[in-house]
Amino acid sequence: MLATLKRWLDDRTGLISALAHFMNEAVPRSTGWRNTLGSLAGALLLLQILSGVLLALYYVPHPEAAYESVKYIEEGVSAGWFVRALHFWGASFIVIAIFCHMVRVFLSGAYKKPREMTWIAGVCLLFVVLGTAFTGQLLPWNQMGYWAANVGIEIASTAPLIGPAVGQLMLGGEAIGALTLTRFYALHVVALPLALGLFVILHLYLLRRHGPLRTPRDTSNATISFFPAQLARDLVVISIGLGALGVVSYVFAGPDHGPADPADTDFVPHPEWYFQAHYQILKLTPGPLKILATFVIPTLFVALLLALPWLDRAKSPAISARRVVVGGGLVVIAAIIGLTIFGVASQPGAAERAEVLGGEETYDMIAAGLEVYEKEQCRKCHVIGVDGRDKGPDLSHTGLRLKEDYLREFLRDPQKFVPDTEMPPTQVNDKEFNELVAYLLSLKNMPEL
Amino acid sequence: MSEAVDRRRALSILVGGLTGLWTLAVGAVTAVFVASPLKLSGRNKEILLGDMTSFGFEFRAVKVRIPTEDGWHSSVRQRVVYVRADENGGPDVISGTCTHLACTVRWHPDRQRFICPCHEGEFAPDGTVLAGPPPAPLERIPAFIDGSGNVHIRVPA
Repeated sequence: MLATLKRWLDDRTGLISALAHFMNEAVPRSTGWRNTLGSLAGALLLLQILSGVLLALYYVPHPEAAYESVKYIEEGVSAGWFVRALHFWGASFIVIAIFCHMVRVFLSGAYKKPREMTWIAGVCLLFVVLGTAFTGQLLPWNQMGYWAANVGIEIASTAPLIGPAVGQLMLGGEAIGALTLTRFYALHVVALPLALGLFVILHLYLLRRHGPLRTPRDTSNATISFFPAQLARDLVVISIGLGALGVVSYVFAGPDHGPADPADTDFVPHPEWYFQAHYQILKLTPGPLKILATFVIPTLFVALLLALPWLDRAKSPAISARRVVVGGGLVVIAAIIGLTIFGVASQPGAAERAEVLGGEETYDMIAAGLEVYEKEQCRKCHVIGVDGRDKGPDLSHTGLRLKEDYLREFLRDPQKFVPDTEMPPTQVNDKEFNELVAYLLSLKNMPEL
Repeated sequence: MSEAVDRRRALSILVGGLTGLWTLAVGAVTAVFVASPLKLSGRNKEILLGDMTSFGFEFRAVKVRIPTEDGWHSSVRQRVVYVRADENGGPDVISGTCTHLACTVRWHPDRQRFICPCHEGEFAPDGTVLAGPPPAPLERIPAFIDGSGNVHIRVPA
């Protein structure tokens, strides 16, 4: 019965024999554990797409709702905290898997002719993944994401000629706001995953076309079938990776830095660890050379990765034949790892943060005006929004109804305008009076405080 | 035979031309749509900071609320400026936005300097760069006092 069904399906679609063909692919006998890292990155990407779709069931891309919707996922949705943690830590795991995969491919010289385009598709995948991570950071609309986007947009704006336009296109509006969030959202959940899918297909197609590289030591022509030996290795490594991700996500919740607040001077932003190497370069580069750190070094790095198959002229992939390239590559790899570790280790801890937190709170005239309003007990006779008693006029929209000069004169001497009013003259000092007026005039469509 | 070749050639040109045409059309609409934010033009807005007596000779961080039309969404954007009284009692207003990569600097009264938490740029009270990566001094913002004693600034919005 099942066999008949399979035959029917295969006759109509060819999918079953295609799968069998794929599984029984002949790979060099020397294919082994080191060839499993790409599969790990692929499996993590699949999981990331799944957890992303789940988050999208609740997430709302609007500045007034994003933070709360993520909080709801964390607190109100069954296993919501776990799915969000999986998605958050998944990004880090993917970056680690891709990094290890690239280092392995680099050391084996597997980017050499005829596999140059496989390498380039892989480099593109790396940067699409980093772009997805960058745009994803803003979505929870928390402090860290806000400042990461802020710095990222500033960095893009420093590019020569097109920089300012690129920055403006990323912003969408005058500053990071509703328009920026929907842009980042569209990139994060639609455009970049589509690009990711296309590059994954291209990468896998090219891998199939040329097959895994036979190691220099394997001089035979012997092959093995991908299924079951290599697939089993893949699945062991994938299981270890997914298992570790599960444990990390179970133990460490996705971070909450409080809602985005550009006026908060107490927050110390730092980038995700995988941007730390670049962050350190930004810190160490003196002002006049800023463009070196924001544009020249990143561009050179991308160019170096893309040009690698042509920079390495050795015919053989053996390390002994490529000492200079491998040595140079190891220096770059060591620099990236070193800067990353240095950056993560030198992040200000809680104690240092508490130290810089000392000092005055940010002065806010409108908040100060609200305090005067409360102190003078205005709410005993006036309503703002739903607060107060409606003995006197509703003040909810004062800023739309009254001119400043009139409001000032009225507050000082209400009887002058309405002889039989019960409202007493406002007797506060000039500073408090100014604050009260500023607060009342700020009341427009919706009370801000 | 040459008729068949001509026909084949003409059809190839047609296929290539139509594909190119549609790619161009879709690309043009996409480009215009995506580039919409480029037509934004900044206007200066006058913003009220507070009564001058709120500020002494030490810098005080002040929350600035800038009414913003964010596309379809009206919102109030916030940023921080630092205000103190100059020797004549007038307002001395300095932007809290770091000139390196636009993080908000913090005033450290004990060290009498602004320090950016992002990349550790340091600025003197007059805004000049003392250390770290910032390429330019902090912006000094022109301010004035109105008849009621309130300090106002003009900022791009």
